[in-house]
Amino acid sequence: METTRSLMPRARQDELVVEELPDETLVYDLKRHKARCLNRTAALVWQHCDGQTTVPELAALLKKELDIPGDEAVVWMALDRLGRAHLLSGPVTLPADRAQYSRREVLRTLRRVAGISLLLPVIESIVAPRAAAQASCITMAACLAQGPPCGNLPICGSPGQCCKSSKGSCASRPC
Amino acid sequence: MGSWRSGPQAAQHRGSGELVAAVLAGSWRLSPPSLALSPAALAEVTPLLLTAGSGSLGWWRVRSTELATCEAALELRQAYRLHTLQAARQEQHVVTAITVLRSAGVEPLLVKGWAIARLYPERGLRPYGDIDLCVHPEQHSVALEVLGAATVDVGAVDLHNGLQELHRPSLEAVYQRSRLVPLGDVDVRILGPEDHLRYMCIHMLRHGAYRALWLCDIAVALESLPENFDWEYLLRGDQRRADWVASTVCLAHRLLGARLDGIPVAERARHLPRWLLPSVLSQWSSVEHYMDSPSMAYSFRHPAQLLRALRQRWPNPIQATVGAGGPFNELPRLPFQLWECVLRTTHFLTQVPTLIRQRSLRPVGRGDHASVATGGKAVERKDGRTEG
Repeated sequence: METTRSLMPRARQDELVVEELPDETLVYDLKRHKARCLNRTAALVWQHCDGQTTVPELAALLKKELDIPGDEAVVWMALDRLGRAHLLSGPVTLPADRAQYSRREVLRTLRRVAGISLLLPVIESIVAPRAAAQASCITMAACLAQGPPCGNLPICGSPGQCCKSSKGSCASRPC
Repeated sequence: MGSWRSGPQAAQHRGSGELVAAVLAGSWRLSPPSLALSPAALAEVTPLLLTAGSGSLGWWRVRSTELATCEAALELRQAYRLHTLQAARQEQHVVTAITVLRSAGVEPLLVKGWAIARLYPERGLRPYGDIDLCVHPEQHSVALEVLGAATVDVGAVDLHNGLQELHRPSLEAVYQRSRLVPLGDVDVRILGPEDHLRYMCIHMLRHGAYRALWLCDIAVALESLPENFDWEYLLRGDQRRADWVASTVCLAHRLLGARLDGIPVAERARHLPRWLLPSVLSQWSSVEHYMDSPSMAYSFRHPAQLLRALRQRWPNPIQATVGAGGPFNELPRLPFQLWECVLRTTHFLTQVPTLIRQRSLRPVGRGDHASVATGGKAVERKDGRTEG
C-alpha cells in the first residue's frame, strides 16, 4: 500500500462537549444536537487530529497504543467516519485510490488479530428514551438529542411547543 | 396508584415496582452489590428505569454482570452515555447561572441537581433536567430579571422564591448552615447536609415518591453524611414533618438497602405504616405520571385525553397525606386523597379565569412553574403548590 505523507486534518473543537470514559469518548455536538460515542480507535485518531500528525505516524501510534496492525487503512477509515460525524474542522480528502481504504480492506488487515470488532473505528449515535424525564420542561437541545418516544414534554422557554416524535426522531412541535 | 387498588392488578404493579427497587438497591455505590436478575426481568424493568431517569444507575448496576450484553442493558448504557454528556453540559450552565446572579449581587443556593449528583461515583449517574436555584424573596425579582436578560446560555433554571418546603424558621439560618463547594471556576453554595436531606425527603413525599431516583438521592446522602451530622437539627420543628423525614430515611433503607448503621431514626423502619411501601412500589411501577404530562388546562382542550389526565391526577396516599399535612399512621388514606382532590380542583378553578384571559393553555407538566424566558433559555419561578 502506498504510504501517504499528507497531514491529518484538525479535530473540531468549538461547540462540542467531550467526556472521556475509560473505554470510550462521548461527544455532544451543541450545533447539531447530536450525541456520539467514539470507541478507543476512533477516539485516538480524533485526539491526534492536530494538523501536524501524519497518517503513517498515527498508524504507528495505533499499533503502539492499541496493538492495531500499523496499517493506514484503519486511520483513513476513522477519518472518513469522523468527517461524516462533523467532528473534523475541515473535509477529509481521501487518497485517489479510495478502494484501498474500504471497510473490506480494513477487515482483511485486521483479520490477522483477535478482537476485530473492538479494533475497528466506531462512531455510534447516542439516543436514549425520555432522557430528560426529570425536568418539568425539556430544553430544545435535550429534545433533539433523544430518540422516540420523545415524552411530549413542553420545550423550556417555548410556549405551546412540545418535544414530539417526528420522522423517527424528536423535534419541537405544537402541543 | 395506592392502597385503594387491590387484587391481581395491584400485585402485578407492586411486582414491577419491586423489580425497580431490586435493580436500584445499592446502585449508587462505587461497587454495587451483585444482582440476580434474568434478562427478561431486566427487559421488563428497563422502560421504568429509563422513564424515571434511573437508566444510568441501572447500567451501573448491571455493567459488570452477564446482563451487560443483553439488549435491555444496551439501552441503559445509552442512557448512561447521554446523561454523562448532559451532566457535563449542565455543570457549565450551573457555573454560568451562578456567575450571572452573583454579578448582580444575588447569592443563590443550589438545591438537588448537581448538589446531590456530585455525591454519586460518576456525575452522569444522577441526571437532572433543570437547575434549582433558591434566592432570598427580596432578591427574587432581581434574579428573574438578571437571568432573563443574560446574553449567555444559563440553561433551564428553576428559580425558587425562598425555601418554604424546608419549614425552617428563617432562610437566614439556612444560608448560615450552607456550604461552598467548588465547581470549575466558581464556588457553588449548597444547603448544609441536614437541610439538604430534609429538603429532599419532603420534596420526594410532596410528589408522591413517584421517582425511584429521589429515594436513591436520599440513600446516597445517608451514606455520605459527615461525622458531625446533626440529627437533632434535621428533625427540629414540627413533629409531623420530622416523622415524614424519618419515615423517608427508613424507606431508603427498606426499599433500597441504604445503610442506617448508628442512625438515630433507624427504629422508625420497624413501624412504617402498612400503606407506605406498597404506595411507593406502585408509583415506581408506572411509566405515567401527571408531572410528566400535559397540564389539565391542555387536557380540557383535548377531551380525548381528559379521562386519562384525571386518572393520573388521583393523588396517591403519600402525596395526599403530605398535601393535607396529615400523619403517617395506620388510619385509612382515602379521606386525605379526597381532600387533596378538593384542594387541587379548587386551585385549578381559581386559575381558570386567568387561563381563559391569557388563552394560555399550554401544556406545562407542573402548574407551579411559570416560564418567563426568551431567546431559547428558560427561567422558571416556583410558587409552592403543584397543579391540580
